[in-house]
Amino acid sequence: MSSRAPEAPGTPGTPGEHGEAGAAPARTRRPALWLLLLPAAFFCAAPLVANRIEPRVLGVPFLLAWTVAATLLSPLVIWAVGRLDPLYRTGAAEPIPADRGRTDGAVAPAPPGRPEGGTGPRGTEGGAYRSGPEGPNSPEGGAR
Amino acid sequence: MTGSAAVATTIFALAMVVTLAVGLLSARGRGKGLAEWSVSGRGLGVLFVWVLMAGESYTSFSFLGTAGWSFSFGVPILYLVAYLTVGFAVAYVVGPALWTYATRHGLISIADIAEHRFRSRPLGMLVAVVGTVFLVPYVQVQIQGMGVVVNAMTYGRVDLGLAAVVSFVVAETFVLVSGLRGSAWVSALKDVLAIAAVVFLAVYVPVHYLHGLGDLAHRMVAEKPGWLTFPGHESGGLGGAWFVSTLLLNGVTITVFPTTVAGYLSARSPNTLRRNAMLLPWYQLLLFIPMLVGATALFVVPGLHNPDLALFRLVTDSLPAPLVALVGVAGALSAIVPMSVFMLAIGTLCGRTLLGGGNGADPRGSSGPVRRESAKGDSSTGELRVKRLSQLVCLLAGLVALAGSLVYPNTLVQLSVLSYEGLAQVVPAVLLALYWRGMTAPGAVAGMLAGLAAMTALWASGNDPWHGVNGGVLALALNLLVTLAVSRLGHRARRGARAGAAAGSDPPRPHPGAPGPVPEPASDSAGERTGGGET
Repeated sequence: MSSRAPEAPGTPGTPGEHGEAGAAPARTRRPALWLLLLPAAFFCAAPLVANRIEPRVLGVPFLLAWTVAATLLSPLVIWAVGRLDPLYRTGAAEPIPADRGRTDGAVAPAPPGRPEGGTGPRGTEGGAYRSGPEGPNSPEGGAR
Repeated sequence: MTGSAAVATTIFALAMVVTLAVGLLSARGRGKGLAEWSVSGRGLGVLFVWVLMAGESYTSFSFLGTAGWSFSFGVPILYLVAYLTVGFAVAYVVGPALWTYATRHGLISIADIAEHRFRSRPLGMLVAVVGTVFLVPYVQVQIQGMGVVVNAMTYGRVDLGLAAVVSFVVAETFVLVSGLRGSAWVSALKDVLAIAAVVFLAVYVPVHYLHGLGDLAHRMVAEKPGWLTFPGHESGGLGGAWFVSTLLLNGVTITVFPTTVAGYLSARSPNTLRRNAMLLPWYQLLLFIPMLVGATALFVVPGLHNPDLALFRLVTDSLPAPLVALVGVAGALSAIVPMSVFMLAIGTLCGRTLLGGGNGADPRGSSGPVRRESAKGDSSTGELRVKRLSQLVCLLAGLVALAGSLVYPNTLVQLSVLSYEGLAQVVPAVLLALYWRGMTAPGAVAGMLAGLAAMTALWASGNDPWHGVNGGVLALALNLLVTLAVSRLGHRARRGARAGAAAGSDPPRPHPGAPGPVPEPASDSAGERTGGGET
């Protein structure tokens, strides 16, 4: 389903030699993000495999029980993704491919009459861009 | 009943005064700049972002429509919980992504983001117009929802029109003065009331009318099995395919909804948003309760004329006036909070991009004072002017919606059904464009227009859902195809032009629409590189 593309962790493997200064390098691998497809999978499966009343779970019709279970499991999945995501543990900003190639000063164009070009007011970012104590390719990312 | 009506009306009036006070006081001692008004100066922590975004997701539809759908159709209403939950999974990535891009470049809305990404103010304006067209009906839905709630809770004493005017005045006043921070504070008040009211109803209603939840489940299975499996009871095509396509479409679209984005951009850091993606889904469990109440109404008032009143009918029927008023105030605030954020989002969309001369990213744009927020967030004259324009649009949008609710209560509401399908068409230009560097402005515009046309055609011809599939999904597929094709053609034309120039021969004419959305040469070649490999 193409509309889900933004969710795919496209960062690994895309060519990006220029890490954003101060941010976690763009090549940080985040395989755990694929788990974010699980909530959609739970709910999409509901009409396919759970579209019936029996068996009842604690008296609740099966389709409803399935949906409640999916609603309870989803935040746990998202929580697990956070635990496995190196960017969450370092508090780093999200890598934005559209910014790559614009952030190194040589490329950024300064439109006439503007003090700042594509680089933007980096001063506003505050502590959000600190790179964490762990390295960008810290093995815990996928190991746990 | 007059005594009860007087009590309920008094409580309602008091609640409105308290709401106004909370909303107005919340901005005391804060800056007066555009970013403070639109996105709370990007300073909200986990708790307030949670409160604000929970408040946005639990609207008056939750009290009225959720119980109503449950009463009329049964399980198709589960799509609401499904797409909101899926939306938070998507938001784990999308929220911090939009936050990062917008904060880095000082942007305040999706139109601002699109304008900056493509260095094209016309594209930003298109996004602003599309956003406004599909948000104004939503404001009207909230105003009318408020009317219904207040009319029901005061036992018919306050009529629909008066309630609509009151909701408009309250929401508009505090949002004009306090901006998003006002909405966040009122939302805190609302969340406490709504959680208390709804949890109480979950226990009380099934026990009062039936022998508890177990009996409700039993009687549903025995007497109303048609409500318990897809496609529900006489739902008119709301089957499994509709459920799946709608939850996927809405789950992605809600992450670029201008109101959701206002919440994202108000956050202090990316981790604020990641944490919220983990915490907010729990709030959606509350949505199951109006569904239960709607199902209970099937056995209590089976001949109910207006299904939207399923919940309030039971509430007024079974509770004393002060408790009715409490539930009513929770319902009323559930209209006011989203309404205020919707109006603010419309103001923010239009104020800078449409009327304020853009954010200065478009090299073709007019010269003038720099309109981006400065690094320190202090307010320059240009920024204040943009803020005034945004507030003006915020007021006008509210007035249009109010007039619509008083004069044409049914016309605009029809449009709100299409809000998600329409806003889905900006997903490529606002969101995908941050990941796919090869997307060009002509591609994004052509795709968006194609998607909107397809969606409108499907709807107008009565083909939505089309063979059970949400029309917005089909329109988005067309949108993506056109975006891809036009972007690729643009690259090819430019490459051809360059090759021709290098060979010294007669250069083929570049595509007329092609002249660069991305002016810098380095990015240009980068676009080629990724354009070949990605997609």
